[in-house]
Amino acid sequence: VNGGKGGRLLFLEAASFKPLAVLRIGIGIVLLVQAQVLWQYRDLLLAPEGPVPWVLSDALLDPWLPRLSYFTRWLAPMGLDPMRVVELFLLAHIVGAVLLIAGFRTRAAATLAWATYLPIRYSAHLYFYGIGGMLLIALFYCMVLPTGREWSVDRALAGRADGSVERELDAALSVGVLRIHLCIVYLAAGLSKAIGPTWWTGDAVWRALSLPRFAQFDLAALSGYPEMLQAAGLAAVVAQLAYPVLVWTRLRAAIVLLAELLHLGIAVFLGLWLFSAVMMVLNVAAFGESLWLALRRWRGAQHAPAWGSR
Amino acid sequence: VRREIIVAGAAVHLIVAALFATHVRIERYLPSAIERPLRVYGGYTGASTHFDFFAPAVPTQPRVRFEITAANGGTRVIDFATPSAEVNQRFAVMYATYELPSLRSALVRAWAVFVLERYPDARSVEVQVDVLDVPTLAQAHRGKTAQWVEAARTVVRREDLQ
Repeated sequence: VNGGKGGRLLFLEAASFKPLAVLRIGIGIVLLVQAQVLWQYRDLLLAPEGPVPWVLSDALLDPWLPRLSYFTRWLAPMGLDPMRVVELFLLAHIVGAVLLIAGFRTRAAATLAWATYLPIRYSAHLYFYGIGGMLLIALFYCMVLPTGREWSVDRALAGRADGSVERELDAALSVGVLRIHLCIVYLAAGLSKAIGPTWWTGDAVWRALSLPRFAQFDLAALSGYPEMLQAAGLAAVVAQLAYPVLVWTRLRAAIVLLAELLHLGIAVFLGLWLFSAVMMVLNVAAFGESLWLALRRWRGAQHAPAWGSR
Repeated sequence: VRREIIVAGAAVHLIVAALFATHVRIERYLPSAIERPLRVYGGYTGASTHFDFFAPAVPTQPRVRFEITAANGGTRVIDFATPSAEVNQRFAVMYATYELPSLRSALVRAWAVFVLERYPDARSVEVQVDVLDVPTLAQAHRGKTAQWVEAARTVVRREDLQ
């Protein structure tokens, strides 16, 4: 697990805050895209008397988790009906996401986006798939990590940041937490699949491709190539199990690229574009700088900058 | 000291994330005095997320069909499909909660109420839930195709709701 120059551990390799800027901007864009969908279909997904009324979905939640019905009750004396409260929260969420992308008052912007995302997510929790949890993880890190120190209005207003050792350690620690969390995600996802026999036979891939909710193309003919589907299933399991090991070795670039390809495949073949975008942003934020350095070395650069010119 | 506190906090956060990460519902084995604070903490931070997407097996997909009967006896089938693939995906996720037996009757009633409110001319709505029977890879290779199998059918009349 030697990180090359100076023998630094790969865990402490990150040398700039640019990976965290990637996280901030990427997650902000995903939040905006999702908010546009939620706004356009708020009468279906977020209405108190929608196909799943709040009274039903709220009953499945812990009372300590925020949901829009709490706020509609508190704001009712001001004459705001529940749908106006939904719209207020969505608009505030959009403002938070825009400011997050710009990196203006970054921590406050991330806090606003997070604080409005929570009640929106929990009020519509029966409509959220894997993206709900992954976005919350990413948004929480946008709030607590120093994501506004690069490529941000905050940085432009504060002037050139210093390059002290403490600053670099701070970046390394922040990116290191992201890396470890991603390793946990992939290890758990890989183990959960590995115990299922259908992932070893290719049936899981076949089944996913056969469900109308994911169908992007007519792939019925693939049943004539079971070896191909088996290889895809095995690749998904092996890539996820290998990820938390190989990202700490010289094979980091290869395994991260494989993970990105996996998510690209999920987006193209299963249509889960937003979920895949979140995973790809997290990967780029956690290991993108490493890949950039590897690419620079591969191209023969003698003294590669941290990520772009510094 | 500040740095040590931050590192300790990050370590605790990651330990909680690791505890909840797998398909094993660890929350069922923890004393509630520990489990609930951890689950609520995870609810605010994402640390209680289970990463068992498509695992250990890919579940099937239900579909829901609504047939409304108007006062004049005419019938028509409606659905909630939208031009947005993302919204349709989320509806499929919501329909999948029908798999939970404890929620079934409440869900069917909620869907019926929503349909009857959207279509004031409807006297009743028939809610039909079908589940897709996906053949295994070997069965598909031998020519078997996926079939929708009716799982439940319920008629809800407007007067039943009053």
